[in-house]
Amino acid sequence: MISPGGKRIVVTGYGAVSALGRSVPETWASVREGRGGIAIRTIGGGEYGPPSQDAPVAQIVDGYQAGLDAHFGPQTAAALDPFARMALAASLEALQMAGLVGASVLDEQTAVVVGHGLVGLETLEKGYERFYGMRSPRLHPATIPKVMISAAASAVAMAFQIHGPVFATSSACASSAHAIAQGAGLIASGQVRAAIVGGSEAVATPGSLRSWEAIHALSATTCRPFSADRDGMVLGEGGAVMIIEDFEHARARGATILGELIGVGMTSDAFHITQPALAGPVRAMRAAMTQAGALDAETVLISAHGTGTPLNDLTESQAIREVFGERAASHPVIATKSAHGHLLGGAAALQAIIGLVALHEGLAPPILNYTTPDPACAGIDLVLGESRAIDTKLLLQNAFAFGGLNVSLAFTTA
Amino acid sequence: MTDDELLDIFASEALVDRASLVREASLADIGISSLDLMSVLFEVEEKYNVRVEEADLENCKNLGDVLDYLKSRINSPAAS
Repeated sequence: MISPGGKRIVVTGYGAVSALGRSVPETWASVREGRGGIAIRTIGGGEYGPPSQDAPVAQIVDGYQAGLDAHFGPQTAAALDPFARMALAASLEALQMAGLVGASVLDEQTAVVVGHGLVGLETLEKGYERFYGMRSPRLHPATIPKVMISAAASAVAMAFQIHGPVFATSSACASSAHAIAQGAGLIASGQVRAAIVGGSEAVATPGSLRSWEAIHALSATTCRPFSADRDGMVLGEGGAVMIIEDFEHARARGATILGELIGVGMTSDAFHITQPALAGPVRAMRAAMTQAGALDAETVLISAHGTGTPLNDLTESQAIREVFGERAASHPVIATKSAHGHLLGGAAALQAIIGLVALHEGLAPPILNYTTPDPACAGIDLVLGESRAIDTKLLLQNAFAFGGLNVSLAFTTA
Repeated sequence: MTDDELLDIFASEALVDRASLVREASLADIGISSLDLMSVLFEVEEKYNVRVEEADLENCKNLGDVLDYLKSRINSPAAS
């Protein structure tokens, strides 16, 4: 993305923890081989709550914080709600990959912008269970510090001694896409040279699960993006972070360039708090691809928002057809929420990282759990079955959130 | 109930060196903030299923006084 100031924004590191693994290499190995992380889990209702229930979720893998504990000692992670812990774990991997742990640029020339949809749920639910259950009027004194939406951003700043702009973004399922866009804006405007951007989410809690069920958004079985029998999304836990930098800064320090952000489109439907509209996603995708100068590109890897809900996938396939017209069917479409579940605020960052690795590997990972073509989603090139060889250096990442908040990001590895 | 069990809670919740936890020292001298103390009280209530009143701690001059008060609550027949 050549900004008005002439700055190019490049990716120099990434990190991810999710149901698919404790790192980006583990995550990629899973999606490449078509191994999903969704399973039927027993979610307890707590001491005073309803009976436990079995539901499909993509729970974070055990031991995801081993790297954190080894680096900072166990007390650092213990003081955080899981959503912040996951963001910190992903940040550590990303900074290590970028070779920036302890670097002087982190001091005052780096931003932290991380996004989340719903935060602190484990802390709140456990604390309130005790409180409303009349067991004790006392809530843990760390409750507020753990459930602040900015708790993860602050934790990352404290852990790596970052004294530049640090804040959280929140736009439901587009939160980390907005975080990437905001971090890029800070670099483009010259306020910082680098940014730690991404998001995380830890919502596989009993109250959250019941709340999502109440709006009939969840599948009873699994996530089947674009399949005619899709019946909803599956909640996923995890965090994903990328390091973006001013290209000149990255080049001067000899960093490995993993990709470049070349287009951003951000729009709002202003239509409905849960239902998607067509125009907003179309404008977001078109804006990102136009800025990237890639609207007419031969092949673009499209990493769909692809939640597996009837309405999202219908609208998204319509939007892809409208934006790309005759070329729509020539762009392979992947939907990795079928593997790692829906990380809500962390989803776009995780999917964009997977998309970038896919470009490097020349391999598009398959949409899992797909059974039956949906005529309403026809005319786009879904990657089904197993990983498919691709020959493109362009990635379009979609994030279309509840409340009609849409972000599309265009990257290149050229 | 021994001091040792409570001191373990102080050490883990307030992140202070176990050796610094001497009965004669004031909480401030040991480096235990009011937030740390709240965390300790929370854990004591959880572990021993008792209620602790913060106001009762106002008369405590040093760590020993706090330990004695907590033990009196834990050992109280009214504790449930």
